[in-house]
Amino acid sequence: MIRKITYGIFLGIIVLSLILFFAAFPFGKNKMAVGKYYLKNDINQTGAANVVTAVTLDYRGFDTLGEVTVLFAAATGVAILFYVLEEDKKKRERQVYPNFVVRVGSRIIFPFILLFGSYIFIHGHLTPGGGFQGGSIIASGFLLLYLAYPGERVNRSKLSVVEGIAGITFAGLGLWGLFTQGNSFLFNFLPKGQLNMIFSAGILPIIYIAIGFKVASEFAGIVDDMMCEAVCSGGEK
Amino acid sequence: MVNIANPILLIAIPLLFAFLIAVLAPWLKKGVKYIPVIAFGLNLLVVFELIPDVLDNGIVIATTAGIKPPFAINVAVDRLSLFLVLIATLLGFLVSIYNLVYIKEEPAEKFHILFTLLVTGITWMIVTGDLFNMFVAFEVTSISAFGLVGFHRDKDAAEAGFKYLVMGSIGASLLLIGVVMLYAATGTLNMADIAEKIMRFTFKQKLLPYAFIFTGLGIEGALFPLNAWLPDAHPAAPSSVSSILSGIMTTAAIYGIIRVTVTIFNYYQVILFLILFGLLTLMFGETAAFFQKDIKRMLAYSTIGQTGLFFYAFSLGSINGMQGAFLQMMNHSLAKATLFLVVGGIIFSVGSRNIDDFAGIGRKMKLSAFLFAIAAFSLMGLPPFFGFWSKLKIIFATLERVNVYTIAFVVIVLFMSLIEAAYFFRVMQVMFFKEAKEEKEVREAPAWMLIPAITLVVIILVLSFYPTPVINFAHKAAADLVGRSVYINSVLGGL
Amino acid sequence: MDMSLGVLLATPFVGGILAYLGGKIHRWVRYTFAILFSLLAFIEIFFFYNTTVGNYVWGRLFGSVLVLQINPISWIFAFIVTGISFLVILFSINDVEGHKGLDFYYLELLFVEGAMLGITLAGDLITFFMFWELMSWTSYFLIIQGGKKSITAGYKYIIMSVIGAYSMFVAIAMVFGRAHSLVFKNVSMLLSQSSPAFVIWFFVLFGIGLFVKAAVMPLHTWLPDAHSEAPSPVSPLLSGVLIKMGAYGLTVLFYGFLSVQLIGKLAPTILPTPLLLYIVEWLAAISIVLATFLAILQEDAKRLLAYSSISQIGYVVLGIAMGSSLGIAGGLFHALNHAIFKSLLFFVIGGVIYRTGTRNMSELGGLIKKMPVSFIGALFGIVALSGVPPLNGFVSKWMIYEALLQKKEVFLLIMAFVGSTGAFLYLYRFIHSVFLGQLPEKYKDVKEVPFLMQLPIWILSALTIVFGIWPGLAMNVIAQGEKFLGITPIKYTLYGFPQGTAMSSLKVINISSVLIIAFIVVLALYLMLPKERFVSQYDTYAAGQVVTPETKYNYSYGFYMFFGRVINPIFKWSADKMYEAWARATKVFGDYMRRVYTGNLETYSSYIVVLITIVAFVLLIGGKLW
Repeated sequence: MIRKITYGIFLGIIVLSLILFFAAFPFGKNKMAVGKYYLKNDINQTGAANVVTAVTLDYRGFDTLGEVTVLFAAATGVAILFYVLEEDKKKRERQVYPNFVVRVGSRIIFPFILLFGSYIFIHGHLTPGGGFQGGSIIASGFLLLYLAYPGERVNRSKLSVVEGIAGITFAGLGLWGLFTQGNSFLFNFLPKGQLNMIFSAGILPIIYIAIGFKVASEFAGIVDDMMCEAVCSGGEK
Repeated sequence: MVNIANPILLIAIPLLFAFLIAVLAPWLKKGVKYIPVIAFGLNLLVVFELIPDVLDNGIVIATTAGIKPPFAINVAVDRLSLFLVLIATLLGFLVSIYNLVYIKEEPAEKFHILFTLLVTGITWMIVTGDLFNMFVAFEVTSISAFGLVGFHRDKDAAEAGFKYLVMGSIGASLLLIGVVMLYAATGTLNMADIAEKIMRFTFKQKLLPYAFIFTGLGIEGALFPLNAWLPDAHPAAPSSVSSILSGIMTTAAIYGIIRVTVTIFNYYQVILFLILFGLLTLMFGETAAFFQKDIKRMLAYSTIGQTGLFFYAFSLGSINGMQGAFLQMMNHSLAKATLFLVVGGIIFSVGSRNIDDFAGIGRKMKLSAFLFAIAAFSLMGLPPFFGFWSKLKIIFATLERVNVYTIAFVVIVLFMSLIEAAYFFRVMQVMFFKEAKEEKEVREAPAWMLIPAITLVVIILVLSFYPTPVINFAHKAAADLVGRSVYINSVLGGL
Repeated sequence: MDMSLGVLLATPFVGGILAYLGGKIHRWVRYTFAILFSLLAFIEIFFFYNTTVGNYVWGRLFGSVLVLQINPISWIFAFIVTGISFLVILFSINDVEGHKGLDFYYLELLFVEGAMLGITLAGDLITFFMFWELMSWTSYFLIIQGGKKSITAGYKYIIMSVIGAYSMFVAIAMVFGRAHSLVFKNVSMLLSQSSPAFVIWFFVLFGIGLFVKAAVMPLHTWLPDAHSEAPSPVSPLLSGVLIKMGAYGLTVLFYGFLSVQLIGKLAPTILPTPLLLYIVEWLAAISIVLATFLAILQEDAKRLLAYSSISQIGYVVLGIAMGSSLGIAGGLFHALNHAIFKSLLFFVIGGVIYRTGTRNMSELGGLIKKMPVSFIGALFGIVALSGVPPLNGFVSKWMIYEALLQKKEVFLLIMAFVGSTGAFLYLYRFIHSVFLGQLPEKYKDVKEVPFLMQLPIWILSALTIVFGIWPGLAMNVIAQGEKFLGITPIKYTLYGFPQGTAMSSLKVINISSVLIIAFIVVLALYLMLPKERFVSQYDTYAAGQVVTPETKYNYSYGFYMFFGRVINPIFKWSADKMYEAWARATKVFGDYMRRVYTGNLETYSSYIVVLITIVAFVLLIGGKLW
């Protein structure tokens, strides 16, 4: 109890000092030199209707490459930690079948989830949302399938290939820009197109589609790893 | 003509290859292990291309998305970064060669992916010129490290990995909070831009963001009292990973702290406290190392101690001190990586991590024992090895002004190097002069595991007998760092 | 001429590497290289006889030049280093044959030689310190090749050496912080302009490093273990040469960096010598007496010699610290002499160990018949060591006594005498227990050592006579050296010292003549008087008991037990015990310190929280950090 109170006080002190710090800098007032620049130059520099996308994929596209890599590393790490050797794999003793409603419902809903997710990441440069969100939505579709059919598994190799190709697309586009145009990594070398059209903003939609595939396959892979840990290795340990 | 002297390639190439491993893994299960070697081999080429540019201009900057630095992310390699990038790439290349035979456990291809990402993340942290980007690189590094630490999937590895995960995540969050605070305060994320804008801030205003960033990086950088995950994580990881973690990852995090402290904050008011951190880290690391029976744990604690030593040297704040710190960083990276690689080979053959089981190794695994001895000598700072010159520099830099404090610092530093010498000599006694209790068939490690260590030892020896270029280079790097204007002006005004 | 210093220094290192590589081909390739290069180094030394070569720049570091030099003082020590090393290598060939890791052994041997040569040739403090450390760890690897016990001994040695070296390191760094150049000349210039406090700090810190190596009490505790446990051929190197590096360093410190006048100015004193030097003298005198006592009590022959080394190096330091021309000359000469006779004695006992396998004196005896050459070597060694004319130890000890008399330092003189008298006790014990008395049955078939092992004994025995009768040979260089250091050079003739000087009372040639005549007289009497009658040992009356080999009388154990009872109380508190207590205390403290790594994740996280809280708290109370 004493410990809890002590740390409560400690955290109180930290939070108080944080509040005092942020109080000295009112949010969004006249400080965001960079933000203003983005708002002003977004359209003519990137051609993306969605400023957020312009920032995440163009101005700070390098960060996004990093984020994708983080996700990639996390998925791989999970795959390592939940890895089950072939000889350790067992048939699951107690098979639980979800009820009929779940099984049939998931089959019906799954294509729509795919469609919705794809819409989100394909239109990432136009409307709110993007590769990460779309990918997550698609992965949730896979999760639904897993809940409905615990015994089945997706083909991991294919997921891995999709994952890799998507990553190569992102990095490769960046390198293409570096080597052929502008001498700058992730240079937006495709024509900007007309604002608000689907074929606009140069390489941004391509990248977002790649990210969408990547995120979807990675999340699906993570779900699969966790399912396999529970199912393949013979249930709870 | 394609110009490959672009620091972004250092990140883009291995990333591309890491993704390629994922693509090729289903078909080329055995072949993918060569991909990291290729990737870091190419990286090494890029670094060598960069060297003349950096030497001429002092800094090489690359933009992304074709937009000027404060608005888009940029990558900047000045002398200090080049110094560390060279080490990181070299270690990445050599250790990936080591991995060719070392990694037999499944899932090997995932290991190679994470290993590539780990080294890439470290390189990324070093070259980036953007604070948030540094956070991303930090995440790449630590998340791949979590997976690698747990690679063996036994109880030790799981516990170590979990501890590291929790501590590392706390560190990342703190770093993020610190970056957010700076963004709130200055409205920009570019390091040079922040450095310029933060000049009008008072000491008090700067303190809190600094503390958060320092703590966040300090957790990864093994500073006492934030380093408690390290003695578990480094030994639990496969030896090749330990050599990267110990050899360059902590160093990269310390580089982050150096960059933030000097280039961004220009924060000489806190230097006395940094000395305190350095010395405490040194003391706790070395004393704890003295008591270890497990060789990898001992080396891990020794890493803490060494980190403390060069962090201490850096926090002296003078050009000479930083020069000493950089030399010591280099020495530690090369020597500790060698030690872990060699020890990995010995454990591979002996099948135990206990120092007492190493009796008689000096006769049976002559080459390994020899490499261990040279690397340990350099780490201890015995003449004529490279560590001697760096330790000389650190002590000289400390005693530039003789007063009670500096004398006390020197006494602590030297006493701790004494302890370090004591435990390394103990290991060597066991290895060379103790007879094995039972005759066991112990064979020399495979050639591909020895070649990287041999290469590193050759580099150490070359540096030992011909240290002048590196010493001069470190001096220029320190002068550039302290001068700050080279970095800030070239990033903001350049291109 | 300049380059040749580099060649000289490189010789042993190159030799070591070649011997190591050659050993992979054939052992005789290894021996050839080892002998050749150590001999080469010894010959090269003579090209520098009585020359002063300054400032051969061999490198630059941190804005300071790295310099090699040679002067008569360093020549003396370089002479000792190369000479004894050569003999050690000759001796090793038979002695350690058949051991494991011989290539490495010769590599280390030549590296130690090179390192010591480097110390004597160093012209700046970085070079000096570098070779000093190199010497420490290379000799460590030699010491621990002597078997199980030697590992502990070596560990103690390396730890104490490193402590000493680091203390020296601090002193050097202090100078560097002010002068930014560590060439000896600049150092002495800086010290002459510095404040007394700075100079005293430098003196003490640098001195500690030297004292550890020179084994001046109370920093001697590594020596008895290390010297006695080291392999037989290494002991002469350690006792004869390695501890002399401390003496060389002290000479450079006292008179190269500082000077008698400068040390005198540091602290006011009414004593005959400056206060700091006076303290050193007392430490040396205490070393002489206590180490002699300890030597008397030893049962282990090598340990006895090791304590004797502490005592003898006490004379060297005492002489050097005296500050007068005569004293310094005596000290340096004694360093040379000690190198000769102590190496000789260690070679002899090495030979005995080689043949009998033990160095426990109570198990030995009567080897005179079996190993006559070794006996003669031992005889010359102990006569020289105890300072009996006409051998070399006599002259140098006499010079030290005379110098003490000149300064009227009576107490120190008495202590020096005690040390000399005590030396008789333990040396008598040594030669009696090993060579005289009854030959134990098990050593019936012991043979004389092989020729290569006899050779060093012959050479060194001859040298004790040479330097005993013609001390002027050494005085020549020493006087040059004193001139180099800026001290009035000692006057000398080939046979001793000219009329009118303080030492004119010592006429070595007369004494030698008298002794030779006396020897002839005794020999004549011995030959003329009736011959002794040999009887069997079993031909004795034992009250009806049958005399068996086991009951042969043997007094060797506890030889000076009565004496031990008297002096033992002094050693109730030994420095060694104190260091061990410190080491234990440090260990316990360290054990507490490492408890911060509890292994508990919550604790670890709390460290982070506490750290940030402190910063936040500091900020809340106003941002005042100090």
